[in-house]
Amino acid sequence: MQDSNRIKIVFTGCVGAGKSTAITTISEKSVISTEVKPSEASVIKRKPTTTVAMDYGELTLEGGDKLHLYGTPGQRRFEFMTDLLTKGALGLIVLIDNTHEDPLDELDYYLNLNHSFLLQRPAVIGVTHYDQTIQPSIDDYYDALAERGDPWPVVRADARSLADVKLLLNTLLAILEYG
Amino acid sequence: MGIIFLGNYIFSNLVKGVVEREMSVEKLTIKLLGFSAPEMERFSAILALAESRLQQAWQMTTAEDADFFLLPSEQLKASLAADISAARCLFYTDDPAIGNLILSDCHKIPRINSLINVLNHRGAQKTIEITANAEAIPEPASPSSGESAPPAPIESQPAPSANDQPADTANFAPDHGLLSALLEHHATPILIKANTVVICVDPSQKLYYCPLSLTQLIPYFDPGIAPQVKPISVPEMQELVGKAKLPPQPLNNLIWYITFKTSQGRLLQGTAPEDIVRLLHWPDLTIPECGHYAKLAAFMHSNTMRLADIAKTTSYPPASVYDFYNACTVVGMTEKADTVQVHEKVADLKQQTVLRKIRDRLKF
Ligand SMILES: Nc1nc2c(ncn2[C@@H]2O[C@H](COP(=O)(O)OP(=O)(O)OP(=O)(O)O)[C@@H](O)[C@H]2O)c(=O)[nH]1
Ligand SMILES: [Mg+2]
Repeated sequence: MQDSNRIKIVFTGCVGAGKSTAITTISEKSVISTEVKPSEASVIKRKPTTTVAMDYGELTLEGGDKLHLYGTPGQRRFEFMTDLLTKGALGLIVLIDNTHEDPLDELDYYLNLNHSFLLQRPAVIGVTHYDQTIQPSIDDYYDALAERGDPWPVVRADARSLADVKLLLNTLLAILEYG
Repeated sequence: MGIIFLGNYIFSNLVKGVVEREMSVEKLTIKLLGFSAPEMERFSAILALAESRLQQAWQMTTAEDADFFLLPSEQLKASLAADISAARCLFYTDDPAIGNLILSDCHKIPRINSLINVLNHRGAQKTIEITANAEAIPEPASPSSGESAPPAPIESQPAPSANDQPADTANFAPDHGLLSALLEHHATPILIKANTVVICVDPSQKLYYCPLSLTQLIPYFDPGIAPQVKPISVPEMQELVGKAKLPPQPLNNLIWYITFKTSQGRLLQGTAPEDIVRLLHWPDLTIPECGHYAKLAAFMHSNTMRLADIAKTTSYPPASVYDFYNACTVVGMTEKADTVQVHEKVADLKQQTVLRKIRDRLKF
């Protein structure tokens, strides 16, 4: 899975943002996920299970090639997985749960974590759980990105919706092609 | 994608004269075959929007009989409506080479001007047929009855242009209807009533409240509708939206979408195709249809270019580039520049093939 010739896109972002859900929503095959009971206090509060190691799903492309989709674990002690998973990826979908205590701080954290990858490759920011709270607003995300000098698009997305997950991927492709 | 009508019968001045004298057809009916409920809803919305500019009254019907039938594509005619004469069928098609083309978007929302052209041509023709046959046997209306070949053209005129530029004005000015009411400066919340719909706007928070979705609101975008605007207090607004349990929506999305839908391929007043522009912010790609402009948005976000060259380079039709540019400009997301700045990309053919394959797989 660390083979850098693989065609792959990585979903990253905070605990409970919907990385596992998004990959399950779009993947052809049933997703390989390593869900366990969370051990970090901040996670226990939010969800009954969390991903350790990674999520994996795939889509078959014309000619038999596969698009490999990876999801990173949200718990911060698995941070080291990020470098392994993003190696050779086309780009990054950063999912942020808008109901998180400080979503903009989470955004900052994941962009910093992937700083060197993002010098070469693009990201799309997907804001999930926006149906539950509209604060911070999408404009607040853009302000935060502008402060960092990052050009990435911010898209409201529900990880359970196929159309939304497709929109995230399509936006990433648009930047790869035209950005 | 577009709509065509089969046969190449042109609406002539001669026909028009007769139609104006002899409005024997009160309402022409159109039945949609093979469309999903949301697609029918969108067609109905555009038909309602077009109403004031149609020479006949048109009505969608679900009855078995209809004057005209709209089909998703010519290919489906065989299975869905084999026994209806070609003269009574209108189609969606992808083939831009066919005359009398109406551009429609990927959601099968026809462009209003094109819809008006086609329905006016076909409606006039139908009216003259009925007028001519007034004393003869009327054309069988049931799809199951046998029908003759379509009548010969009355006059050979060039088919209406496939490019969707409206004839009336060359430029788009956002100074009418709902759009103009939304763009005016308001110090307090307002209630806007456009025909039967009421929209509550909170300018300070840049939010609006409305029970209808953006696509359901399309009929109220008609620049011919003069909306009533009533200022209200913040507590009044809170009570109103609280009672109706309306969720707040970004006001810029409404303004973006009205501009996008009503521009109709006309460039915003005060802008020329030679103007050099750039996109400062990404529009909300979840606005209906906007997601299909992600490539254009990505391109305009990283390149500063003449509008005319953007269309050429990205292969989006100029009309679509203008609609998109207008919508982004009206919400303050674009900027004009003095010099062109092109972000040179190293063409990576292998990656381009991969991207195309992914895009095909996603069928976006
Ligand atoms: N209401 C709402 N629920 C959502 C949305 N997106 C995802 N969800 C739900 O939020 C939860 C997300 O859980 P996961 O997909 O496990 O999240 P994750 O990012 O993989 O989390 P970790 O693996 O713990 O880092 C699921 O229960 C989803 O059904 C959204 O936009 N709105
Ligand atoms: Mg997970």
